[in-house]
Amino acid sequence: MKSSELKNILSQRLGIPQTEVQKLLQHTAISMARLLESGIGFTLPKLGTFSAHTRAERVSYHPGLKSKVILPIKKTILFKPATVLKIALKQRIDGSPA
Amino acid sequence: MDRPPKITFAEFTAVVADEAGVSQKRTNRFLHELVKLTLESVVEGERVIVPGLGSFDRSWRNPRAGLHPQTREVLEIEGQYRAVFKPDTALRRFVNQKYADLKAIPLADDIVAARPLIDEPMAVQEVPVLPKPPSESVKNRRYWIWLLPLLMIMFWLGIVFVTPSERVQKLDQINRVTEGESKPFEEARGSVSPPEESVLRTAGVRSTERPVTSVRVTVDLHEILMQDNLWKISDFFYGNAYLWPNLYRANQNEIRGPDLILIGDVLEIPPLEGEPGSLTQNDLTDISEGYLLVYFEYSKEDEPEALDYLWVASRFLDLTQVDRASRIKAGDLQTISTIKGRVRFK
Repeated sequence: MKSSELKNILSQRLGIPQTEVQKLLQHTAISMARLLESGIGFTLPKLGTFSAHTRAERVSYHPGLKSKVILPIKKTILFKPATVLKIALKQRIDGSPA
Repeated sequence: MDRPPKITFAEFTAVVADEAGVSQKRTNRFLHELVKLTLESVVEGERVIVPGLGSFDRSWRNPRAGLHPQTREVLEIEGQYRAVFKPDTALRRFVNQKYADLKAIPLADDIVAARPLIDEPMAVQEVPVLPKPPSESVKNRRYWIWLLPLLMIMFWLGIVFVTPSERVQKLDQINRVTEGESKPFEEARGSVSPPEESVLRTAGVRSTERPVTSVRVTVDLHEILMQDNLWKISDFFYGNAYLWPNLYRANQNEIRGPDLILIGDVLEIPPLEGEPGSLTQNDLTDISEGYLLVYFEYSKEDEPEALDYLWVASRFLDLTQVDRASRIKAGDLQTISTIKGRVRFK
């Protein structure tokens, strides 16, 4: 589902114009980004928990340079699915790929 | 191990409502509907892209053998779907902006890390003596390892000892609104609140330093997210999309063109003295200069819309007195003299 379809469906379900949906989506993303940048996690019920984890610098191998490199410290975003979502997905095993 | 701080959904709703300037009830309903739609789509196997945040999808995990932790019995774990979230590039860049300057440092095979690693602090101390002399490339890399801290120290000293007047000039370029319009910076020093950290960062001033000047800053900054454009940003900040050339005027050195902005770029939103519908003469002059700049850009590409922008600029500017007036085509001036219409932002 593309973002335009997402906006369209949300607009229909909420009964508000798409411009307002766009504004709310944008501010939701900005709020999430600011919280994660500050290291604060949050939960969206039935969907999951978002948090930011700091990965320490480490030595790795660069295949292009064919030498070891020190990879710098980095923040990664973690998403832990909610139990409701996991159970809902578990009930869809019948449609598993070959 | 300390767990990372978390906020509840109610607190998160309050944060979003405050950011968007709408009621918590409305935000709550919106977030619930967003979650519900995402959940339905992911379960059905449809990928959902939330602009500026990322994409949600499901992936199939094949059946595999596992070990019972207590009985040590080998179990067969059946295949199942799992939910996957891939963060947007803009989100990842925003979260990592503190570490944006850090790059991977290559190491030769016979060189151990020159700086201590957080995970393996003792490994650095146990450096064996190298038996053979290093090659030229290794020597060069060693040279850079010593030179890098030196350059960082010089860069830090440059920031610390930059003259106050230079900093004031940098802030002055960003902030057009100060307390007391004609008050010089030396007089204004120490009289009003300090600038915001984000603005200081843009001005090249470290946030840990005490600000040299205390100009009151009212400039907003906006980081470009996915599907952003100047039209939408202007509509959001000014409440009138037709003022977008004012954003282009203020950020013309930061962005590539009026129709090309990149995710992650930070725009400054120049404040207006008046409101859309009751703009002051200064506002109209600034906006018209923006329209003129857009005309110059579009006329390079022979865009037919260029004339519209020149016409708007001509309503509030004397085109014979402006900078680069010679670049305005005489034919265009004649054409716009016949146009009649109404300016949408006055």
